[in-house]
Amino acid sequence: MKLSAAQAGQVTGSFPYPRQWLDTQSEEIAQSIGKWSDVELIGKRLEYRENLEHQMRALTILSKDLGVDRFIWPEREEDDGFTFPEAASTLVRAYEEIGRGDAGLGFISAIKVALAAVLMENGRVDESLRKEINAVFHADKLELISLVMPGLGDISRGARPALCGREVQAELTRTKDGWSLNAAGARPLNSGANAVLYAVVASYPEGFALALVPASSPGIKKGKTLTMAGLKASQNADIDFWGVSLTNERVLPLERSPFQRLLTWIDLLCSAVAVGAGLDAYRIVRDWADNRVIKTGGLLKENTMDAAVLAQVTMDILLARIAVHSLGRAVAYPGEFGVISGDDLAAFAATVRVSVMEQVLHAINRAMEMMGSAGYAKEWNIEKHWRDVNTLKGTLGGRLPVEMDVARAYYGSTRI
Amino acid sequence: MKDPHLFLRNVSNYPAESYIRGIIRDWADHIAIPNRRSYDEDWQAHALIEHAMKALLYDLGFQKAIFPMECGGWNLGQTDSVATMCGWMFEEVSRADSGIGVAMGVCYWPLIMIAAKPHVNMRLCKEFAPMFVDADGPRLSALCLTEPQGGADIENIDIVKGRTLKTTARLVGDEWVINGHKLWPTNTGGEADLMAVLCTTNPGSENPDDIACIYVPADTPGVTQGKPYEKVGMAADKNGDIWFEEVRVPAWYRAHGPGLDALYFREVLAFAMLSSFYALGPLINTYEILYEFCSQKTLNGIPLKEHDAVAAELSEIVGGIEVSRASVYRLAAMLDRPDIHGARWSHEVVSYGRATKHVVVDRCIKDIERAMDIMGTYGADRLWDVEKHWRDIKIIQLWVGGKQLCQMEGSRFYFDSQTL
Repeated sequence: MKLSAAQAGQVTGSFPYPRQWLDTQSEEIAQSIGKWSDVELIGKRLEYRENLEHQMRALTILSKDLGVDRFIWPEREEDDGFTFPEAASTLVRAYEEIGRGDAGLGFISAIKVALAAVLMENGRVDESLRKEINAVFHADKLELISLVMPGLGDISRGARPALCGREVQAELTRTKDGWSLNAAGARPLNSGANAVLYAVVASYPEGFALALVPASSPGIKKGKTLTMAGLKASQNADIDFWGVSLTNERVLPLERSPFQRLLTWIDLLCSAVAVGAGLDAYRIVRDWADNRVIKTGGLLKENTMDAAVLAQVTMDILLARIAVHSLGRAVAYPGEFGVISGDDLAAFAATVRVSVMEQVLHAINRAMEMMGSAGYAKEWNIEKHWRDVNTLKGTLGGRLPVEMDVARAYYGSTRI
Repeated sequence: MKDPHLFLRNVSNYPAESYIRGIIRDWADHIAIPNRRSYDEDWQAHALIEHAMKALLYDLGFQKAIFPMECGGWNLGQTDSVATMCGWMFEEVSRADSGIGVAMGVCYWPLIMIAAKPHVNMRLCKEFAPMFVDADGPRLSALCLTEPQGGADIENIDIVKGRTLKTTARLVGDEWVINGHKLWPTNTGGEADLMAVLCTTNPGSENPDDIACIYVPADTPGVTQGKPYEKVGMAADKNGDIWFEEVRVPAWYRAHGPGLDALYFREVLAFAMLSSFYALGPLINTYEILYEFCSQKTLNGIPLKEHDAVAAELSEIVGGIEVSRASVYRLAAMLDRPDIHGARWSHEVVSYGRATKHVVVDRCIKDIERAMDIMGTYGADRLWDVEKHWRDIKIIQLWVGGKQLCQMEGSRFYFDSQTL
């Protein structure tokens, strides 16, 4: 009798996702990036570990040679011409592949692309500013953008205006020629130490704005580079903005809706990054399960207890992947998903992000258990994914603000 | 301001508890905690870590504790409260740095075999105590179990019965000749001064008489300690490979002899389950940090601790601490009083220990992840120390056979599973 592939011990699992949502070109892009991950990052992990110079070289190849920085600019600006938001599913596949290699690189690239996507969708961006931002993406040298989002406040700084329940870290005041930006110890999401441009969500008396601030502006003081558990590619630092002068074009009004849009893009791309990290963790633990024995002879994967744990690793990643692809489709074609408003989509995105991060972290936790002490050794590389995903989970704000978003969207809560 | 040491109040009526907690807390607050953020980068050199180890083990004298008084020790092994006192010590030290807690605990762990009543081997205690008592600096011991081929098999003694042991001990005249390769023992990577090595005197045998625990001073010819492994955290606990090539030690360096070494090894495994304290200390310190953080940081203008949703999560964390402490101190009480609870090597005690350890350590990891989530971007920031605790304690879940072996041992005892 002929055995099926599974009966014969071959791996048939494929972490399926709805492939009809991606065209051939999207899959080709994903394959190119996947190869980059394999060659530049996964294949060189033992040699370079988390060496920043190597990470930046790899990101330069990704951004410049493979052209990820150009994907998002429309054809009229002589670029590869993805249209937004339809490119969301393509970007999900791309960021999964980046996340397989290094979640930190995925994160800083995702922030840049999310910001560009929102600016692109915003028809009110001044043409000269648009060109300046475009130049950041097209510079010969890799250039990073640091995003300062609302988040936790500090009692010593007093009450700050809140946007979607998150306290804004910076304040804009009008001057004769434009604006003045002030913030003490603002904590960016990413790259505070080495960005060329800061995108700062700030308040002013009548509302909120996104201020685009060149890092060379007078009045900016960077703190010490932070040491974080993971995401080493993001060299972050707290930033003081002391009366930084900005022209009017650099201050874009930011109502609730575009702010939610920015959160949605960040949630989407970072969730894809986390899924990629989970997929690579699966690869590592599968290799382990194929080779390690317990109780004097049986392979780990042939023991029911260990098989159950290994299965949980897969089940978490499977579901996380389906969720993030669904979100990608919802961003691209909200009507297909019955998304009725920006609130609706933002709540969906935030829910996906929180659950994906938790599922992937759980999967990696369990995979490390299977590997015993090797799961804890840097040599096996799985611990890096563990640190990266938990750092990403916290950096994006954790669960509580999201629960409040969902309560507002689904229960009409107004005072939280 | 709430007493910041709320969870470190005494758990007993012993006057010694306040004293011991007090001196370790002073060490923690003045020596370890101010420097611990630099310990990760010190994982190889141990320049800063050595300073803290010396202050704790040598200056305060904790490296002597396990030995009998007649050997110059503190008689810890012969008291009716050895495990409970270890709990106080491990909790307090690990509150500052669980790596140092582990290094300290493993200083005692291999010596339980010979220094704990009712099976004190006074000759061996007198032989090795001077190494720790009369030392001119910190001294560490190591228990060498894991081998390259077996993972958790060695610790799975009830099922595997030592038949996978590849490290051999051959009796030649009045000496043991040891050959083999061990991985991962705590306090190795060049640090160990004394090792207890689990070997077989008859390769492939399932007879407990053939399992031997033999003490080997680290400077014995033929012993080679490899470089320390690079790990996620727990920098103070160095781990590495150890090779034994025709290592000769006197025959009386075997802990007790045929049958008894295997029996008391089960007791050593039960004591290993006190490693929950290495995870509880960091969780208690996380509470202290969270108290400050949630009082200082706000969301939507309100201090975090005043948000009902945050309070619910904070309550989970303190519940985790309280319930975990209760169950681990119960384990300590069981180990302390075999006259009440049965022999330390009994299935009941070992299984209770295993069940407690995996649930408590899981809970500690989950609760620290919960804390990091509340703290948002600051949770993964080294400046707040919580991420260090999170990285450090993950290995406690993975060692001595890991969570899965704990689960199997629990099921074997509580459900009479016969084949696990």
